[in-house]
Amino acid sequence: MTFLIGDIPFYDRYIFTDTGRIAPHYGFVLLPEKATQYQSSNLCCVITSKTPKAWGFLLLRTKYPFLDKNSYICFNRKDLVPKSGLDNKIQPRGRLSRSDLNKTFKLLKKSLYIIKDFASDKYIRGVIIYEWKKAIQGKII
Amino acid sequence: MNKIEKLLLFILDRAHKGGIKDLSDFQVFKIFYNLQIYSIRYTGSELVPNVNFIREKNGPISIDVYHSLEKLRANHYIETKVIENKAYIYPRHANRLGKKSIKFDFTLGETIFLDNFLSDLLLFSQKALKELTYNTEPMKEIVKKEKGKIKKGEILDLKKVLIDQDVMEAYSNS
Repeated sequence: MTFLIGDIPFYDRYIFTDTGRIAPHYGFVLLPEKATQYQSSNLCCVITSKTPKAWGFLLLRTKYPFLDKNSYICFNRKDLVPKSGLDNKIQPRGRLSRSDLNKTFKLLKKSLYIIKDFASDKYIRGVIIYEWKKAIQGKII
Repeated sequence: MNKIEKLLLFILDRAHKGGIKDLSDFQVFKIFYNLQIYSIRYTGSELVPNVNFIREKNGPISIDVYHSLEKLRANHYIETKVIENKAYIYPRHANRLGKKSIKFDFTLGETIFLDNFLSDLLLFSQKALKELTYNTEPMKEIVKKEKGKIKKGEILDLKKVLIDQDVMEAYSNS
């Protein structure tokens, strides 16, 4: 299974890039897998049910019924998550709706320039913006 | 080994890993050129600094890239077969990785950038690559000035490449 922007896979071992901490989490895929295939990983934002102070995008359980409870995509942390941490069930568990994808783009762009992590690298930032525009507008620029 | 040489080998490495037997000189030049354009448009700077491209009959070529290709061939990093092409007046130079190899030391960001764009560019036909190339601002600028007569040897002005609007907007809001 190769993931695309907006997919929501479940990792029983989601590895946080900066700390190395491991926990079960949903991930929100930020880049199509063609970009990270040689890292055997996916670039994700973690999804958590804990309300973040900022940079969170609410996913309602009524709209995304595969979630156990209302959860948040945390745009303040981005991780290169090894695919070996995916659980064995059907993946991805879900996918962000097109309207929510449009809504999150602004938040994502802002986070890329304000949050200092490995995704604030100018090349990763550029690729994310390019691919998101393609995903949203459905065209190559 | 300089960055031009490393990038050429990276392009051929990814072609090989993607099951593409070889790349013509035309493909190598156009892929290299378009990577530079994507880099300027989405990061604000060239992937490999100070590489000049000049106008040739079939679009931009680079003397720096040409010399690097020659050096890599001479040192057995690249193998090139010259194949006669009956449909065209010039033979095809089919390039692929040679006996010697290197360990790539691009940053993670550069590697993700390259893999993302190469996964598309390597699948483009020569015609599609030419079309993409002629749609870039530096080529449009030259073609506009030519008025039908090709200005061979004119240096392409990479400063004409426009930075993506969303990249600009994000910078100005940060």
